[in-house]
Amino acid sequence: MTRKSPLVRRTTDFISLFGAANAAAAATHEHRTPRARDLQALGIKPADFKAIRQ
Amino acid sequence: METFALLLQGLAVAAQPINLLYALVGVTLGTAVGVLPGIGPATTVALLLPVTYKLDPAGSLIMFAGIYYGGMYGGSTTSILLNTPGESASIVTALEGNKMAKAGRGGPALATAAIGSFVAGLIATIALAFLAPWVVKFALAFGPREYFALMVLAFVTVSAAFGDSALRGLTSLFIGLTLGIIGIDLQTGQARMSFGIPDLLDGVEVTTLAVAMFAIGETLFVAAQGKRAPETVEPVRGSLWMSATDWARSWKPWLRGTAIGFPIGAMPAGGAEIGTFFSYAVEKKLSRHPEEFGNGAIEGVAGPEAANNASAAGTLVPLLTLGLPTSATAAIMLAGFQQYGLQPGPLLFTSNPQLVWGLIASLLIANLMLIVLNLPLIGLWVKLLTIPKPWLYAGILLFATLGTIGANPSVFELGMLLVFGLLGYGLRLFHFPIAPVVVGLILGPMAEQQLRRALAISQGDVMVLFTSPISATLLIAAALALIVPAILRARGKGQVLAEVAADGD
Repeated sequence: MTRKSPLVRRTTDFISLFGAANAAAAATHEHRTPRARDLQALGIKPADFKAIRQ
Repeated sequence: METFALLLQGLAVAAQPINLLYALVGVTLGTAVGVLPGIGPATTVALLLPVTYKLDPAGSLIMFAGIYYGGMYGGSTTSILLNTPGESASIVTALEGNKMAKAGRGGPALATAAIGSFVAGLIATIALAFLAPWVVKFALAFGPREYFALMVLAFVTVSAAFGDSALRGLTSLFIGLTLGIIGIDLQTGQARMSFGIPDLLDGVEVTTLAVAMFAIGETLFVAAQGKRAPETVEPVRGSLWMSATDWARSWKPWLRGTAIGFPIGAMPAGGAEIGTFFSYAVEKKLSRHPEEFGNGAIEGVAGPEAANNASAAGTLVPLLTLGLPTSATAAIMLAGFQQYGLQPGPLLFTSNPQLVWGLIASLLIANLMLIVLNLPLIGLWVKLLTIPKPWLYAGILLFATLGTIGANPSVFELGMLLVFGLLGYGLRLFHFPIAPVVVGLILGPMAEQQLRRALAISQGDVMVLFTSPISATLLIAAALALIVPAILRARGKGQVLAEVAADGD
């Protein structure tokens, strides 16, 4: 296994976090509940999000 | 220094009593619609478009910007006290804000949201004032091919790059582009897609489409959701003020939220929500108390609220300097400019500097008005929620209809309003985005005009679009914005299938 350099790891983290934020934002914009994995990537518990009355 | 002088001149325009009144009306209306779930700033500006077209352009645009800022402020109140966001950009605020309210810390939650919004609005508006002239200088080098490429990039990013389905986004965009073709072609004088109907020769009115899609379509969609469970307002117990610890834990998230929200707002990414989700995730990662997240962490309110207000100012950068709308509200504000015969873009800064700088300076004043309006009058805003929903929805439909007929007294226009309203409802029902339809109708004819100009200059050689470095870069960026998210989505689907298969084993 090759270890990723800190720069590559940070860039990958940033892209995946931004992607999850994008997907979650698009879902809420269209009155849908975001996917659980996107919420988890953002540090949000899906159950907490579902409790919000939209 | 030049920017300071221009900003001071703008402040002189914004401080005129009539413009202060417009700003006050704007922020008050904006806060009210931000508080009311189901109505956002896009719907409100759309509703006001037909009734303001005989007013002073500067005053009306100041009011629209006030509504945009106010909507971002007001949405947090219901998120915190009711766990019901007033508008979609405040959803993330509800996660920690409502938990704080339930724990008897509603006051500090509302305070950090309001002060964070103020700080972000202030910094982001100043950033807008300093960044705009730079973008204008760059944009002055644009010719027809560069403008066409910029619009192609806007089409792709607004419709296909962000969101779950590129196909749905592009479908919405093509509906808008098709509607934009209707009417007399300005270059040849030919009637296009008017089917012999004289009312269609002038084309589809952007205001009619915007009111129909955002006011009527949205209201029908919200009303069709049926009755909701009764809402419980968490009483604000204790002090409304923040403790020293709350201040210490809030100021960094405010600044980080601003730094995240402003560029995301300026990107053609389709709204303030991305910044709020991203800010929440960043705050949780950087927090010394990550275990508090999910139980009422003040950083989870401060960061996202700052991000959503900063993004409102960020949205105005491409709108004012390039004429590019990057969110639904910005698309409708662009229609607002056009109804006065004004075209946002670099030339507006030279042809109408008083209006542009007056608008930017009025945002600073509106921001100050909002913090005064919001914190002490929380009780009043919450009372708005007692308005029976059927009255509210019926009122919006009546106001939208009267406004459109008032601006365009024709039965045909009314028919179009209703048909587009039903189309907007249908699109929402099947999860098609709405903003690309309006963007397609506004930018479609402009893109066509620029493309035809570019081709006329090159005598029909399409390669002219790729021989300018700016145009080629923009077109490559558009292609990447279409292809990369598609690959990421495909990879995501592959991962889901792999997970399902693993679960099945």
